[in-house]
Order: sequence, then structure tokens, then C-alpha cells
Amino acid sequence: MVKQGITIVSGMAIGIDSIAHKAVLEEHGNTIAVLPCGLENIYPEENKKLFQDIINNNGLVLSEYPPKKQATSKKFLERNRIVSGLSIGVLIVEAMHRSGTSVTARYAIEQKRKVFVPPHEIGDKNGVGTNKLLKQGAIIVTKTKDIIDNFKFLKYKDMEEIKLNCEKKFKNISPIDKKQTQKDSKILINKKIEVLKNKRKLQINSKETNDLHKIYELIENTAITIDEIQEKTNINISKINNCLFILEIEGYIKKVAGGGYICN
Amino acid sequence: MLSNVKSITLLGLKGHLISIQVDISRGMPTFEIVGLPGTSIKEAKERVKIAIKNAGIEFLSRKIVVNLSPANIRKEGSSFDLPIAVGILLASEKVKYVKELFNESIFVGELSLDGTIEKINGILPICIEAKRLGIKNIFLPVQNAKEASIVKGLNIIPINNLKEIIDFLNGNLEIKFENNNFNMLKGEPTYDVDFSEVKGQENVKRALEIAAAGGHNCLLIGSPGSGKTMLAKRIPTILPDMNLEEILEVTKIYSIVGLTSNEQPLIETRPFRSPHHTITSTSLVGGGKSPKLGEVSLAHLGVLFLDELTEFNKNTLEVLRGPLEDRKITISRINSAISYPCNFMLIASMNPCPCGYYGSKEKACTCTEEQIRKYINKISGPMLDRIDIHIEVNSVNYDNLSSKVETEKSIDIRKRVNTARKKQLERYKKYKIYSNSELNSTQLELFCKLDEKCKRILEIAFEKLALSSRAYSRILKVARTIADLANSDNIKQEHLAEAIQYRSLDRKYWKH
Repeated sequence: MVKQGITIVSGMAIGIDSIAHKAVLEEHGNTIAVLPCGLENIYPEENKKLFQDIINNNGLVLSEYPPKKQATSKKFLERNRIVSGLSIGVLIVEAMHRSGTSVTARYAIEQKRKVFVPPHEIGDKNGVGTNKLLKQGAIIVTKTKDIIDNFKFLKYKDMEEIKLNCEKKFKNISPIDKKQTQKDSKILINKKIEVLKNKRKLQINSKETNDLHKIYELIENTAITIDEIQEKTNINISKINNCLFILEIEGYIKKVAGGGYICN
Repeated sequence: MLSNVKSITLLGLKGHLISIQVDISRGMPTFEIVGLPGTSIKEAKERVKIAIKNAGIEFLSRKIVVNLSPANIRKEGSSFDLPIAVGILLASEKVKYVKELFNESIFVGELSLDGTIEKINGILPICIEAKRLGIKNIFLPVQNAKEASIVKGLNIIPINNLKEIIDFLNGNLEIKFENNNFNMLKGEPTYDVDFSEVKGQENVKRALEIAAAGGHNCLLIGSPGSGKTMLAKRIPTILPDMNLEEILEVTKIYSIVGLTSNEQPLIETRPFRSPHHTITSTSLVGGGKSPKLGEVSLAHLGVLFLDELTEFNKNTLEVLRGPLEDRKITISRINSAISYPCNFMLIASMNPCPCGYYGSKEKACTCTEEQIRKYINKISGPMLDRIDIHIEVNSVNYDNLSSKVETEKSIDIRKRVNTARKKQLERYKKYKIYSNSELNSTQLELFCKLDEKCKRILEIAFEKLALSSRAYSRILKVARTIADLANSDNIKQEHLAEAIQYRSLDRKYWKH
């Protein structure tokens, strides 16, 4: 969505909110955070850094409360009415039965905003609320284009177009750096696209390169435990631990709760 | 007439010589025991009276005063029954007085009403003290004879009942104990459980091997049914072999609480204690009016396993902080201050969240992030500071459980642990510590030197993995143990890398 030039509005809470804001910042897009508390009393505290990052990146942080007001559960719900009100459409990724997100959806409907929902499996606990919204007539989406196409005044730009736009932008940069930057940007964009399609290629030179490759091959998007890696590769545990450490330090993989690893 | 009989009582693990003075004189028929006797000793009056009567001897209707000297030590337990009875018999001239015999003998034993002499607790420390004091003969219950014979050089005289001792002292009966040279040590300790019974879980096994080799405290985190308890129960089987000194120390403690038996007088296996989470702080570290041993001391030189750590009362857990650091516990009372050793390895287990399935593959977690944070915060920072290794335990899938692939036996793991521990003992000879886990900050700098390359790696790791600063010394200690297991004199990059992997709770994803 950011790449499409759309501003993302969210609540800067833990979870999907923070993820959304961070994603925008990575792409240098526009974002608005609406807080359920005063601006001098940021909740949750962990997101103080995110708060600064948003401001430093020309983002907007809003609050309807006096600066020192504390966050309460009631304010969370109130905040959501501003989030939906500021937006042209609301994308609800996950919602449990009777969750706060469902309330946001209700606000959105009252405010005549479009509600978008990705489909969930019937048994999925996190999909009970969203599936209910679908029944009530929310718009089902599976990719960015689905959302864009719902607004007549927006036009979907595909990846190639974005690439061209980027190049156009770089054309305005001073002629000395132009060639270099252009080249860099091309590589950068290609790399990003590659990441989207596939996981990163391993480029480490170490004495355990062979083991590193074997292990890295096994690590996908779903968490895999050390024991499973050991079972599949038959490499000794201390060596696996060592390799995982190198991979993690180099940013190829990430450790998640439960002791599993996923690719980054 | 006045008589004087010797016995030994225990204060903590230490024995004290007590002389039992009995005086029988004319006057109102009374029976008094003085010299700070505890309730169980006061009750001895009736037992002694009836036991003497049932041994076929008239109990004199005179004024009888028994003094337990020195009178300023509080005495507890039933082991004074026999010396009091012998003292009365001696004072009433029912047995012959032989000066040498009574000067060089001690008497311990509990009486039952029919005169039978019952088993008492703590016979081993009593015998050790007796030997130190130069006592030659010890009269004790038959059931205690074998345990007493651990101490060489004492003449052990096992007694069945009061009648027997009267006959013996009068020279009408000979009692011989010829069990002095049986082979007490079985050599290889045997355990009912073995690590080969645990299928899969190679990562946790490796972590536990490191923990055993360096004496590191360990926290297992995993969903219900992932095998935390099963793994923990098998830890004693891979702990380094006990030497004779350690065996005696453990046996002493078990002797005091009466957990030794005639069939198994020596405790040759490392203790494993797993108190339930409803335990009070007193029963955990010891205490009471006359200070009793707690679970921490029973786990001395072995494993203290706290299952479901977060369910324990917070105050109960905080009490553990001192013993974990000092490796002994001192209980102070008005009458006495008693020290018990408690050099144990703490193994704790807990769920990752209230519902138990955070990060699990088989079931979705229903907890909110706030709930998880609260749950983890139940374990205080200072407590976590004392745990070197945190490891996540995942459930084993069915294929693995039913597989017939040979897994490593405890004895093989123990061999490696033994070698690593020997290296440590050698290195720390001068410092009076036994394992890497006991290193203090100065010793840490001395023995865990890092080269520039390792320092840089540690720096990067701290930055990229957002480890908390308290992890630093823990990582070094564990890395030292990993290096010992690999028989390397210096900590290398790979040792450091592996050690960092065992610090789950310091990771970002637990802190949200």
C-alpha cells in the first residue's frame, strides 16, 4: 500500500499497528498514528522509539487527549473511531470474536468507510470476527490491487511502474552521482523484489559454509526447531547452534518464541 | 547413688558430647529430667520407666533426677532413652560399674515400652564425632549398626533390647558385630532412569550436559507435555561421579532426616529433590523452633528441581537467593545458630505463558501480551540473575517417540561431564571452588579471557540480539564450560556462539 503512495493510519499499539507503522517507515512513506493517550505519556512504552521515528520521518502523531493523560481500555475504542474516520478505507487483518477491532469496523460502517477483509479459514480463532464482517458485506481482498481497485480515484501501479518512477526520481539528482545512484537503486529495487519472491541468498564465507548452507536451506517462513534441523541434517547440536548464531547475527534468520527459527 | 553415662546429640550436622548424670536419692518418689530437654526427651520418662519394668527390673520409688550436661544446649530427639535407662540402672546398681568401659563408651537409642531398642536418626554424624573424641565403644540399635560401620575404628555394639544390654554389662552375654569389613561402595552408581529413554530433544540434552559439566543452574521453558519433568529427572544420572568425601557428606544429611536404611547405608547417587510448588519457605530452606533441614540441604551436591517455577509463592522463591549464592544456609535461633550445607544445582521448569502454548506448534496461545509479560515477570530479576542457562523445550512428534533409533546413554554423557569437571577442579585448585558456575567477577576475568575477535562477536551479539546486560557474565561462564567440554584451553568463537543460544529469556521476544 505504501508503494502505491497511500498513507497508512493506525494506532501505534503492539502488534499489527506497530508492524504497519514500521513497514511504512522502511519504505519512507506517509503514516499517521492516533494515540489512545496524551502525547507526553506514550502507551505502550516500548513504542516510544517508534513514536520518535514517525515524527522524524515526516509522519503525524495525533491524540485527542491532554498531553499527560493515561491510556485506558475505553480510550482504545474511542481512538479507533478517529483511525477509521481519517481513512478512506479500513483493512481488518485479524479480529477475534467481539474484539476491539470489530468495534473499529462498526465505526467504519457508521462513518461510511469501506471495510476490507482478507479471508480466513473457518476454524481460525483470529478469523471469527473478520468472517462475520464478510457475512455483513465487507469487501474480500487477497492483494493490494483489490483494495486500490475499489476506489475510482486511485490507480494501481504495478511493480515495473514503481521501478520506473524510482528511476525518474533519480533523474533529478545531480548529474555526478546520477549513474552510481541509478545503478544502486536498480540493484536495490531488484533485490527487494527478489526478497518478496524468494528468501535471501546466503553469502557468508566461513569455515562452516557447507553446514550453514544445509541449515539455511531448511529454514523457511514457518518456525523450525533445532531438534528438527538436527534430525534432518544429522549435524552435531553444538555446530548447529553455532551456525544458527552466525545466521542470526548476519540477519538471515530470526529466533521466535518457542525456540524456533524463521527466515528473515 | 550417682552415675554418669555418655551420649552424643546433634546440633545441625555437628555432634556434641552430652553426659547424662543420674542421681537416685531418698525422698518423695519423683522422676525429673533437667538440662534443657525438648518435648520428646521429657516424654522419655514414661518410656524409660515402663521399659525398665518390662525388662523384669523393679523401677525404684525414689527421687530420681536426670541432668543432661552441658545444660545450656537444647536437646532434641529420642536417642537419649537408652543412656537415661542405663544411667538409672547404673545408679540403682542393677548393672555393674566398670570405669574404663563407661568412660570410653557412648549410648544412643530409643526405647519402646517392651524394652526393644528402636532405630534413631543421624547415626553417621554421631559416629564421626565419637571417633573424633576418641570414644572406643558405641552401644546402638541393631538397625543402625551397618550405617555406623561406615566409620572405621569404632567398636560397634548393636543392641536388640534393654534386657540384652543389662546382661552384657553384667558380663552374662557377649555381643559381637562382625560386619566391619563389608564392601559398602558399589562403585558405579545405578539410577532407575536413563537419558536414553528420552527420544529426540537433542538440543535440550546438550544444554543439560553443559549445565551438569559446569554446575550451572538451568531453566526449562516449554508447553505442557513437552517433557520438561522427564528431562529434569534424568539430570542426576549425568552429574559427575561423587567422591567418597561427597558421599559421606550426603549420607550424613540423609542420616539426620532418617532417609538411610540398613540395606543402603551409603547414599551413592546424587540426590534429586522436587518439592511441590505449595512448599513453604521454611520447609524449602529449613527452620523451625529447633532448626530442621530444608529441601535445599537435602538436595546438597545434587539437584533441586522446581517444577512450575511461576506457581511457587514469590516470597518462597526469594528465600532461595541467599543459599544459591552462599551454598550454605545458616538458621539463627535464640539458643543456637545452625549451618547446613546446600550446594545444589537448581533446575526449574515453567510454561512460557499462563495457557502454556505461547510459541507452541500444536496449539494456539490464547494469552494476551500483557498476560504473558506478567507471567514472565513473576520470576524476579535477581532470581533470573542466578540462572545461567535458559532453554526452550519443544514437544517431540510421534514419529520420534516411536522411533527405535539408539539414543545416547547417561553413562556416556557422564564420561564427558567427568572429564570437563576434572579440568575445572584442576584449574580452580587454589580458589576453593569446584565448577565454572562458582566463578566470581575477579576470577571470571582471570579464567574467561576473550581475544579481540570474540570480544567483537559478543558486542555484535548484544547489539543485534538485544540481550540484556545481566547476560554477560552468564554467557562467559557457560562458554567456559563449553570450552572445557571441547577440551579447549581458551574460549573460542564457537563456544561463545553456543553459549549465547542458551539465553532465551534475555531475548527480545520475551520482553515485547
